[in-house]
Amino acid sequence: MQTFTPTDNYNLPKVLAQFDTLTEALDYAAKGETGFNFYSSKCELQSSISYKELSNKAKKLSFNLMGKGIVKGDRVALLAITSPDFLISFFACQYCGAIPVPLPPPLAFGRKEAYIEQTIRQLTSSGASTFLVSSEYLSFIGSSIKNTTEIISFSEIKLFKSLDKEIQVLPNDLSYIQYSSGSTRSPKGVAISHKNVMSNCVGMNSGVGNKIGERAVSWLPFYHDLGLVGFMLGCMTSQTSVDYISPIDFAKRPLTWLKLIDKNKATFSYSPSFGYELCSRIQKSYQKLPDNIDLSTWRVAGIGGEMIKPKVIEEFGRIFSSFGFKKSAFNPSYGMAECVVGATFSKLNLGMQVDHISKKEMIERHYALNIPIDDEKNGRTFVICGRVIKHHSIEIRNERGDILTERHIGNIFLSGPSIMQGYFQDKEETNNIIKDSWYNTGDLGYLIGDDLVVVGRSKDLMIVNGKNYWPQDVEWAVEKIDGMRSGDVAAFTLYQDDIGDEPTVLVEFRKSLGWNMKKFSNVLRNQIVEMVGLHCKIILIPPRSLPKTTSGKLSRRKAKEHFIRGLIKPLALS
Amino acid sequence: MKAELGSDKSSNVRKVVLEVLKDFNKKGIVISDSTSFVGDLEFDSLLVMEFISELEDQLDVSVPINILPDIETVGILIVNAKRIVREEHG
Repeated sequence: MQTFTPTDNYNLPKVLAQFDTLTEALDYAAKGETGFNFYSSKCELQSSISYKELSNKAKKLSFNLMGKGIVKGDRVALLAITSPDFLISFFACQYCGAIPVPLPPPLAFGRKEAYIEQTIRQLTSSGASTFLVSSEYLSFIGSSIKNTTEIISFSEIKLFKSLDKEIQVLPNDLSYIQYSSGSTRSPKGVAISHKNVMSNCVGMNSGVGNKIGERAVSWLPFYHDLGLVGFMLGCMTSQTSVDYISPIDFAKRPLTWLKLIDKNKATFSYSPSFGYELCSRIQKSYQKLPDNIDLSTWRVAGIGGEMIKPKVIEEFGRIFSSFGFKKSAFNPSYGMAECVVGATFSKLNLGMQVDHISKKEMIERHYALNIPIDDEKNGRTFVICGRVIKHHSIEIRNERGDILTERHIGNIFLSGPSIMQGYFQDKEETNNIIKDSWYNTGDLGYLIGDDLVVVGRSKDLMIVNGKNYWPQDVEWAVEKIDGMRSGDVAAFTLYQDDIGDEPTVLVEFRKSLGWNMKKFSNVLRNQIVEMVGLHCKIILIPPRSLPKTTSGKLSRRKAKEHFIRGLIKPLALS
Repeated sequence: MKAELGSDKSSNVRKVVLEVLKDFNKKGIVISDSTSFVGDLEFDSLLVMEFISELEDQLDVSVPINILPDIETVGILIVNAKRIVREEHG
């Protein structure tokens, strides 16, 4: 009978990521009994792979990869499904010095063309020679992606002749490329070295206080940094056992996540706000968690990945307290793929701490003036995301680049050994955001002492339900409509207290286009859904009301600011 | 007996799909075979999974995840759901 891997190793001392490379970390973990376990949506164990087996199988597969002609530095795209096959392939790449590029499977109804276009662009950008996919997707992906990349299933690759060769992996070699960043039109591959990932795993494991008895549960996809690093590499490098359900099974039955935490007495699990929200909604409606479920072992309930919605988190804490869930377990954090995954973590056992500040002072003076929490009308509540990880530094700077003092709102800059090598083969974009070893996150925030408060994610990125969308893609979709010109459109998210970040599109409407306003809005909405897969609120505004930069380009940030301040008024529907 | 149940189910697939869809039709639009999940019903990838899960329960089948990219409209879903019910229940 299949059994799951134990929580702790019997003899092997726990080492918290103090290794030079991922291969060294896996070789060490392979001396113990811990590893990865995969569960079904009914919480039944489906397969299990200890770090020892993972290391053996990955080494064996690395010989097949080399036998196929893959050499050190080659990029190998991997369909990032939640399965042992993906993990074995990921580490096979590590052992032969190839650079894995995890890509998402198609998970929406329809939108086939959009998926194929995105995948082709990512394959081209990474220059992947080979794309390994699961057999269920082989015919769909194989028949629709027609470029130079060779598409092979996870099982076929094992049939290649074996070339037994020892490859030396060095700390400065690239360990993976991740495409969570950048628009569909111009994807940007975050290039991470072994040194980057190891230093972040050290910081993260110390941030969450990983210790003997730690057991992780995750439903996060392997094509996102939170799933790939937070709950795969971060756990492997600290020899922590993980119990997985796939993101698909989580979306189908969210409460399985909580049942799995109870099942093996897990201590550590993470989700963006929307995952907590989904559980609360389901628990309040039709599905119910059985009474005997016990969540009291859950020590760190991390929150990250998108702007944290305090009300959603409080509600989850309230609803699940009767199952032993401790509110003090909430651990808000902040990070991004460009610094591997985690940049700041809250102090342990404090729960979610918030800061309530004056809206007026925030907009007019960019100052976070603390006001009483019950003054809802004049205030905004933000979540405190904790301190920057070990060996890293954080600064808040204004537009001119001056370093700001406490409670002044500005751009968040990070530096330290986790900051990526750059966007893969894109020097220009890299130089735009990393200068003198400081990375400009593009996010806005302020400090209270050493604690970071994030007030807005990247002025460009639109994060909806944990997924990243790029305003350029939304604007591009609108500009494709006959008669529309570039610069007529500005897309961004607007924070609404009850629903969180709402994707919003301002579109200049000219009568000369010959459209009826209502019909035009519908056409725009559908066009964006078809091309980008995002449902946006469309707001028509008078011609020439969007602010431009001195070089005539759209200033998205100013457009949003002018709209919030009422300087741009929506046209009334006629 | 089982075969009878199966064919009965197959003919009822359309009814079940439309019934399940009611809970997901927030704007209350009129549903036809050409109704698009993404364009008309505003399904995002989270909602797709919630819907599939509900449909699986009602039809007592398991919907393979790799057919999703081909399912543009309600009509195409019904055709596929009928096929799956036939395969699983005979």
